[in-house]
Amino acid sequence: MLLRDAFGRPDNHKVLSKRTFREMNVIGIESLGIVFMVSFFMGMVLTLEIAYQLVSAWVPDTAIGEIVSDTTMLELSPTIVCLVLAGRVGSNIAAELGNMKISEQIDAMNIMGVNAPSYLILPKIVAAVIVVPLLIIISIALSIAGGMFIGQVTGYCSAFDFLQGAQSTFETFTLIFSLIKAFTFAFIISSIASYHGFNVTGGAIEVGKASTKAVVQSSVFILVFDYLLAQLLL
Amino acid sequence: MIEVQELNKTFESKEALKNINCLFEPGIINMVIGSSGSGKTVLLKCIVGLLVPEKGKVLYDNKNFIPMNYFEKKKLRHEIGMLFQGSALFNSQTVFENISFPLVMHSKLSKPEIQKRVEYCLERVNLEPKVAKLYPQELSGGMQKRVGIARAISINPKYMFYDEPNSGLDPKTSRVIDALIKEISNEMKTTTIVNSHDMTSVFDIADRVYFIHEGNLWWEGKPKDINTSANAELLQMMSAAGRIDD
Repeated sequence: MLLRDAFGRPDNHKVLSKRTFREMNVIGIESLGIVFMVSFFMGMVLTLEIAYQLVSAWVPDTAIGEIVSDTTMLELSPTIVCLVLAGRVGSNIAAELGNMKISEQIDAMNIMGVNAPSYLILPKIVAAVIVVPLLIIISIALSIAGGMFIGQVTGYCSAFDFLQGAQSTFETFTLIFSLIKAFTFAFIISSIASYHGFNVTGGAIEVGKASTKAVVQSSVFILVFDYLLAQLLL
Repeated sequence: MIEVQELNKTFESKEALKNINCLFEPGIINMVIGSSGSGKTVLLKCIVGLLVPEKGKVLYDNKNFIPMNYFEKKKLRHEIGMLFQGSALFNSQTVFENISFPLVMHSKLSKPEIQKRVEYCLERVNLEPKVAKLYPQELSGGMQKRVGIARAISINPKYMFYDEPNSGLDPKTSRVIDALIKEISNEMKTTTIVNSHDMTSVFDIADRVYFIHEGNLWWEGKPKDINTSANAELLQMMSAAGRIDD
């Protein structure tokens, strides 16, 4: 019902687009730092672990690049980054809306005849489903860059071999699958967090609890939908 | 004019409002009083539609608000202004954005017209124009209440509601807010309902008083008649506030 209200007719389209851009900044630009860190280190660790298991005279030097790029696109970037975003963005959304609820700011909007779910939730969901797939593309690029960098530094494989491996197995569908996951997870994070924030009753302790619930439930739903999408689409 | 007829509201097994009937006339200050937990905030929330009563009617100029559809309620709400107990200002917005919020959302006013209206509202609640750039958390409690009133009157409401306008304020600031409520009510000729447990406000600004106790409307009348009322609970409340002798 909350989602129905959120996707109801907005009171003012100009305000909606302005708020969506603001949310894109909060969800996207402000998450770049953590996405950068997680992705780069993820690529480096993955490369080292694959090299530890695979480097031998029988395995071609391009194998590390092939495995790192495929694993990153299919699983690690969308899932790990979205789990991190569930913590950063999900808790932020739930806490913001929860605080607005307990301080009667949402009631004030209702009194003014403003569709509060549409004003508050819709821009967050729209911004998340636009920005998170873009963050995932950045994450994939950074993870591959991290892998290529550590492969070159440690001497397990040259940057040229790594890239050649990554290019040789690249399929457009893998990237599309990754973006479908990102889109789904973005919706899960923003809608679950909004739901918990919007339904807070009580005080500051309940806001904290709602924030925790939002992160835990989003993470569980991400893992369940990760499996379902893999089962359905691969 | 707002009329409440046979209003009942229950929370789980607790009856918060029991068959309330009252008439709030325009152009005067109607004050609902009662101790904490008496049901006055529930009554106000039922009147403005934040809570849905199990039974009864809330008539705004003879139109029942409760069965109205979403669009009818929305239209009526454009005529309602409300000051919340904690002011309920939007923390992420400046004072200017707070006051202009209902105008931006619903009116077709141009930017300069909105600017002018916000300046007028700020002046009306005795705040300087430079306050417009500040955020709510940079203001004192009294200033926040004034901004809340400025936001409520920005749309020229027909009905004004004040929920505990003096809570959290020192006595001096409380009197300033009371005077402001009185002035605005006189100027705009709104139907004004004030929820309060501040007995000084009752004698300073109320034109008509409604005393709620344990969900029942126990007494209604003019403030001057309180001292001669036979209602023991009301007299006890007045006595506790030092307004009458024991």
